[in-house]
Amino acid sequence: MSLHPVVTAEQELEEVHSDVVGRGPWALAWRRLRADRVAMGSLAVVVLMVLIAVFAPVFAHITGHPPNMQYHQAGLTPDGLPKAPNSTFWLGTDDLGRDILVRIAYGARISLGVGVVATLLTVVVGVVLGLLAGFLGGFVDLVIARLVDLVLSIPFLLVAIALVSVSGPSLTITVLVISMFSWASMARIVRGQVLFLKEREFVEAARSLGASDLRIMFVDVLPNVLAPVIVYTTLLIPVVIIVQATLSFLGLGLPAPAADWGGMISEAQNYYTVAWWFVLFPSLALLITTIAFNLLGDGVRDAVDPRIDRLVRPR
Amino acid sequence: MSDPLLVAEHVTKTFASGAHTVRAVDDVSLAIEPGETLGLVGETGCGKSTLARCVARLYPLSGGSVQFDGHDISSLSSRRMRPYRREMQVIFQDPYGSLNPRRRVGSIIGDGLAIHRVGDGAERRKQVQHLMEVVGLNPEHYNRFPADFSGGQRQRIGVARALALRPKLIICDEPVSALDVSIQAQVINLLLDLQSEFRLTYLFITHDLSIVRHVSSRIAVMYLGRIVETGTVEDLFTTSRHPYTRALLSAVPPADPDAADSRQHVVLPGDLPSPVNPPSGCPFHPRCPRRQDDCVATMPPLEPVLDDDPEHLTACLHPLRTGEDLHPSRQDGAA
Amino acid sequence: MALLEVDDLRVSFTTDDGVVQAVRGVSFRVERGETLGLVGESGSGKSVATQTITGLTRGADVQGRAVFDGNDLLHATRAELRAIRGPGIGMIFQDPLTSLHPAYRVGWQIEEMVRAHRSVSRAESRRRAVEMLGLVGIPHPAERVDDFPHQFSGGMRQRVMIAMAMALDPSLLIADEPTTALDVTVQAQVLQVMRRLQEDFGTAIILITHDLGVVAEMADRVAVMYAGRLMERAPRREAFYRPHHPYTEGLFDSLPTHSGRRLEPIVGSPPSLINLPSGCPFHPRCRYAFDRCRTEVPDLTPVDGDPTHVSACWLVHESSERAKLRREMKAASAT
Repeated sequence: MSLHPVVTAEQELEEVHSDVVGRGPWALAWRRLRADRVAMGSLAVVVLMVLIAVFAPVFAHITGHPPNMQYHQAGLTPDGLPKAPNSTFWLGTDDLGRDILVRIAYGARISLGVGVVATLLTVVVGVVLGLLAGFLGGFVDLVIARLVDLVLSIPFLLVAIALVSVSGPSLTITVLVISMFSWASMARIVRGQVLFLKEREFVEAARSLGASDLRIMFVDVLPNVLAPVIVYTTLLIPVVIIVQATLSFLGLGLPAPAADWGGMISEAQNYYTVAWWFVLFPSLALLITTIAFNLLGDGVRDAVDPRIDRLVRPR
Repeated sequence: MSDPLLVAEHVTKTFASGAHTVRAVDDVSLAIEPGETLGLVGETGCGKSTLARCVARLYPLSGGSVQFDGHDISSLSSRRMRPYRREMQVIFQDPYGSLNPRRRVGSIIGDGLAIHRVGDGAERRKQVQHLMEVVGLNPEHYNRFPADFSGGQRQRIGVARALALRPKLIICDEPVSALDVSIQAQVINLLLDLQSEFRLTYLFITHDLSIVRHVSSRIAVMYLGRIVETGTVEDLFTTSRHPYTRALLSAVPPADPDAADSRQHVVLPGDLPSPVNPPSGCPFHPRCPRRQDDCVATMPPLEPVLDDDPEHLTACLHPLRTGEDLHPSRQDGAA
Repeated sequence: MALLEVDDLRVSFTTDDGVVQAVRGVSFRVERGETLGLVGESGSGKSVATQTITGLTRGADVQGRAVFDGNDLLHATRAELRAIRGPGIGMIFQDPLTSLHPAYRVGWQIEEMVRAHRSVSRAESRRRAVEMLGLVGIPHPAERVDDFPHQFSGGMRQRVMIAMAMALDPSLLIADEPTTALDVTVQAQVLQVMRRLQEDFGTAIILITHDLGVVAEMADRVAVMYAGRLMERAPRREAFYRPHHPYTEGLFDSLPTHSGRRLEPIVGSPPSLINLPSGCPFHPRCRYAFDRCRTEVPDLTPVDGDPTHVSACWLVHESSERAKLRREMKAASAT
């Protein structure tokens, strides 16, 4: 039973509005992203890379070359140098006669794997700490903020080198080391957002209903923080990939004979004058992947947080 | 007559702002009877919104006490406050800021039910849809986001949210100020209908004098953190005693050409004061056309003046007599 | 010849969601020295219309005619429009905080404007700035001329805006919601300043507002806009005491009055400017709507044979018959 006859008039006007309403903020963002051709192209490239990583064994199967198998006869020239791309080895071979194409495919597993896992870890730690610091304030904020300052002031590469030389190269260490340093920027961004959101009336409304701090943080504040977090995450992945490649370039990544783009580029250093393909193809793989993630990140940012002046297209 | 539902006694709220202390609310006492609407009016900086939040315990009090339904809630922890929150709800001013843009409307309206674990998911959904109908929204829009609704509809969502826990007291903080005129009327009617249907008590805060006259039974006028006059609507609109009340009432242009042409224009000199640097004695004296020496030195008590009944209180040492007009003859406060 | 003649003005914008038809065929004139009150709620197109006339809208598709003092505004070059804005047309907006440049002293801002249009010395333009600040009632103008906007209160800032708008003695002042953001006692001050300046300088004013009280106070004639079209145009007393258009009638019924009778709001909400209803834009909310209203857009026709009072409504009955119809409908709905 309605106290008000307004429903009928509202419903009538709803028909007039119906194609403009009914889209939630995420649906709207997805729609904007879909319209962005550059972003969609980058997404396709990213998906392609993921597929390559997932189906790396297929590459090994099709070419018949396992990634770590050295072909001294078929894969090297009579002088013992890498062979250029040909019908057997589509992207050529490396200094030990291994199939570069297959190694790049397996390398994608490492790069993307570390990229995703390390980023996820970073996001979880950064968001939770940023939420707590921003919302609870006081002593909690003081401790976390100082921790963030500390982490951000440590020279990452030197410490990474030191840690890895002590513990020995491994995937877990790489992931942990990267996350240990990246969470701080994320936490700082989240904390800033939370400080702003804390003052909004809907948070006051939640308090007036009797909601606990914990509930407000996760039910009310977190969904509003997700937008910048998603953008930052998408832009963080390529950074992590580069960092991991850098670490393995410096010999701190996985031990040989693991196929890994940074390691391959490192190995190719001594051969670039005679085997351009050895340097080029792993570098290209790295370049294409990171550019794709960066462009996708730009697209996600525009989709999730569009500017007002985009609304009116000048004639 | 039963006991008052809400009693505020000598409530004071101060904020630290850099080196200064701002007294946003200064020694305010009021009582609200069950079933009535107390209108709280004042201009920017008078402290009415701060007072509302103190009463709702959204801010801690700096001084004084608040009693709700006989219980002292002045300094309860947030856990001990929870049961009282069910009885005392708030409708906020900003239809855009008071609803979480990332939550669906059904979840927003049912938030209180979820927090206090009233019923299970299915029951809550039914309750929410019933509430949506009651306030004039289409219950099928349960899963939509606030951005899909107009300003007036969003305020209705806010009303439904406040109503969900069946509170006794609802504090309405400028509930229609952000809405267009034709929509304001819809929401005001809704609030009045709900009051009789659900036997609600309202603390109605607004700066709009015609609205407060329409909805309230009693009114309190605030200036610079203090109550300067309070009484029934009749008292204040026909026999206001405080010069500020009179100036405030006169400043509103009537939507009537004859009245507009024939009325006396009372224009107060000077700016609205800032609570950072309050004047000595009566807070209104710098702008008051009737100011005398004792006004600068003494803070006038809030009490019945002249031959007023005990419910009509005024904080003025030289109140207006019945039939007396306010004549501001000075432009900048000089004699 | 009227000071400003606007003829069938149409303004639309292309957006991601579709074409927004903000103004759809608006015509009016403003005579020298008179005040035209332009009334409407949000989305009515009142601000877009006046901003387009002065060349302040970008990316819009504009059609129609607007002639100011013999100058064709819609086809003028940017330079020509700049030359008219200031000495010909002055503008003040709702929020002085965003329309005054925060980083420059107010005196400097006024001086810059004066010198942009007149070749006078710095001393002369400064003298004019101080003079204008004094005219609008800012105390100690010679000192305050060097202050920044944030050093003034809201009401004072609005006066600074008026000073700037009037510095070159324009024949037309466009005031877009000049007092909406101000407290009521401050509004009284600002309206008093505007009235005085109009008396002293004979400036015509287009006063855009949603506040009917302000209109009753200031306007000579009233024009009511809804969904981009003019609904009614009449002299002040006619508009208030014998409104013809159901929308105008509805606006008055939405206002709380002293009698305390239940408000009669207009049902529903304003239409989307992308998907406008067919025929009369008000018909979905109109209590008198019949078939013709849904299919044909009504033109402005004289009410009771009076050419100064026009209404865009198919109910071409005389006002007295309309009143009878209305009474009958009210009686019918009460049963």
